[in-house]
Amino acid sequence: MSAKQDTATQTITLQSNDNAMIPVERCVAERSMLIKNMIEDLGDEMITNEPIPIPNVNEPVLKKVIEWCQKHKNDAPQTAEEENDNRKKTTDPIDEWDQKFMQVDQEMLFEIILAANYLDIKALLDVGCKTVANMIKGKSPEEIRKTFNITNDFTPEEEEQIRRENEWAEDR
Amino acid sequence: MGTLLQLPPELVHHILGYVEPQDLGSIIRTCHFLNDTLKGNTAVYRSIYHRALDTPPTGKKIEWEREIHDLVRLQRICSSQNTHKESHLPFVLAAVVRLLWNASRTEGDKKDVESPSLPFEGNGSWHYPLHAMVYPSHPRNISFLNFLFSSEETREAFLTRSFIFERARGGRKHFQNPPNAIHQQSAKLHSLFGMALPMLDQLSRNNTTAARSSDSIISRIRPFACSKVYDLREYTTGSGWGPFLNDGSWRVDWEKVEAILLVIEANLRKKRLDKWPLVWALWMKPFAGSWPGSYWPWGTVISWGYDDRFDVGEDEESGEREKSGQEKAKNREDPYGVTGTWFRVVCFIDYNDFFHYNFPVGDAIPDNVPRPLLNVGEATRIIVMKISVTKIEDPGEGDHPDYPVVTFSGKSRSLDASELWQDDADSDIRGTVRMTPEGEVRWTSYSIFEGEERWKSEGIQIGGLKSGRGVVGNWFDKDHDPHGPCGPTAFWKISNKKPVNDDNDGGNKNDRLIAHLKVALMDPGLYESEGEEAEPDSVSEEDYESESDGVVEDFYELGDEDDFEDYGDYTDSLGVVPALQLEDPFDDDEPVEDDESGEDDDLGMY
Repeated sequence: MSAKQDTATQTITLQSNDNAMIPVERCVAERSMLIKNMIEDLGDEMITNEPIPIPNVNEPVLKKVIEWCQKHKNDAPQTAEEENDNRKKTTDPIDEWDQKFMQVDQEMLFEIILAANYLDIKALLDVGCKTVANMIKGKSPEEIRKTFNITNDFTPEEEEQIRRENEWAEDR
Repeated sequence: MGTLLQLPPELVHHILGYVEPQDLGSIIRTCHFLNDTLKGNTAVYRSIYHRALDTPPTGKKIEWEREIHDLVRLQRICSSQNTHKESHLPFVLAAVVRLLWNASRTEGDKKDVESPSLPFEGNGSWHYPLHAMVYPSHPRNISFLNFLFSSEETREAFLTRSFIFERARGGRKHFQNPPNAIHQQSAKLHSLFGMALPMLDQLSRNNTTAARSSDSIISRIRPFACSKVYDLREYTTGSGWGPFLNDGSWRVDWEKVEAILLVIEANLRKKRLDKWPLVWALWMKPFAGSWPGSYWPWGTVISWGYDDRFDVGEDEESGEREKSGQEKAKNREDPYGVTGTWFRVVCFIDYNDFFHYNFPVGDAIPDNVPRPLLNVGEATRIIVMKISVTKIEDPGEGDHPDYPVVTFSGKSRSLDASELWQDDADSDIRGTVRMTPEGEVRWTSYSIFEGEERWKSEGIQIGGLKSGRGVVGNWFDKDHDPHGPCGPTAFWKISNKKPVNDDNDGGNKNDRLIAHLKVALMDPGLYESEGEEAEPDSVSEEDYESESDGVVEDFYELGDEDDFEDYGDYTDSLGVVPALQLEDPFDDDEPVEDDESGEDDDLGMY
């Protein structure tokens, strides 16, 4: 077994902001570019002995994120090239497992998005954002407000003005 | 931190980048925050654009927000049930043209040997999904346009508003000069759309009640189109006898282009070539090949594993090396992609018919009234042209200042000429390609028989520079003989192969592509997909065989029988060559509207 495989399967510990200690396979944790870079900075020895603090994410969310990373640990790692040419990736529909994974309450959904953004897990961030965009799909303004608990803060005059400014969006 | 609006702005932007364009209208009316976030947010609109459409060609300046708004508007208009939506035609045309011009380039001019993934099944049978794109790069803009025009109401509202359609509806009796803008816009949109309208009309009529099937405007349009295409009064000095407006401006007269396409479509269908891959891939797929850089070397995959490594010819690159030092020094390049093999269709009517139609006894038709419907038999020639660039010069006066004038010469060979016309089978061809001030690619060509120029043609390339659709226009006497004849023609590029110069036959004798095309022409029915038998104007076997006899002769000369063993039975059955029938199906004293009568008779060439 090569040294690289050794380190990939080694277990490290993540510490959530509510001080939960969560053991996780190193290659799973490294789906997060933030954690990957931290491991590189801290060095192999440090991380085998010390937990890695994740100060912006609580235990339930961190566990959820790790569940996603576990499932996707064998995906091709994100590269700089992909970032530039993200055209293909962004148009792929969400796969079935991810759809199920994202069937959580809105609070958790936004927490996952925030965590994915903080931990720099681009694929998870994309899945989260697509899920929110899908919740908007085909809805009227009132339905969108209801879905996301938004208050209509337009006056009737403003509504009329928006209608005038956006003829392109009107039915004809 | 639990709601959408409490997320950091950059994450809200990220989410908005994933919404569908048609949801934007609702989002901006939700609340101030989302409205303000979207207004003028180039990054979000850019991201939405890239998800919905092709990445525009590099160097193109795109107003992302406006494009997305127009996209939404276009989709709303096209999916609307409003019966008067044709009033949106100017907007629809402009939006469609931008979608075409921003579609991704296929780079087909740089490829030749590689095969695109056509639905090809080994032994010469092809299966087409009717609405699927066959382009290897699947441009999203084109799929989107296909989707928009998949409704019959939308096609009727925008593609059938030119004079000839208005005339067919009984609404218009007089031309306008200059032509009506709406007529021109509809004809331009229809020309970009292609030749698929009659086929789609037929399909939808097959699917509806019998009562409706008898009176579709589209099914009755051919005599109206012929009445325009074969009317010599349309061939004027001001239009250069080509598909241009009669004012010397070289601006395209799209109604002429549309009429030519309708006439050629009817003839291809009559010859059962409408489903033939070289026609189908470009003309029967809505908008396929109608944008700059959409050329794709179909010819290399069309012919059963045809492999042009064995072809007699050189690819363009090695040709480049032969360029004279002087040209190299000037670093000239042909922007039009002229050099290569082109597939050409020429249609004509019997000269007697032509003359009687244009010079009837006691002709009292005023200039602004169209001639009667023309419903006589037409003939069609399928020709392969092999041409290469001979000269690249600066634009002259009256040309677009940014593009050169390219001169070409080469050989053309008629693929289905019978023995009687062997003299006509091969000819030399020369011509020029230039950009009009309006920005359309204009082709002029001369056919030279035994050293003498005989026919000239003027055409424009639908879809612009290096488009796949190729060139559509008129042919006529090179001296503009006021008695004609004239007619429609179209040609499009099928391969980048350039002819070899040291062969006085242009390499045609040994050209496997031509051999394959000939075999394919013998039985275009091969290409019809299974279960689709709807052929309104099928040609009788007898007519058909008389068309093909010359092909069989030449086919044996090629001596390449191994490739064609599957067709042995077919060629045997043609062992007896039927006499060519020279008929005059003209009974024109009052041309009738019924386009089924008389037109199936095939003519010999005059």
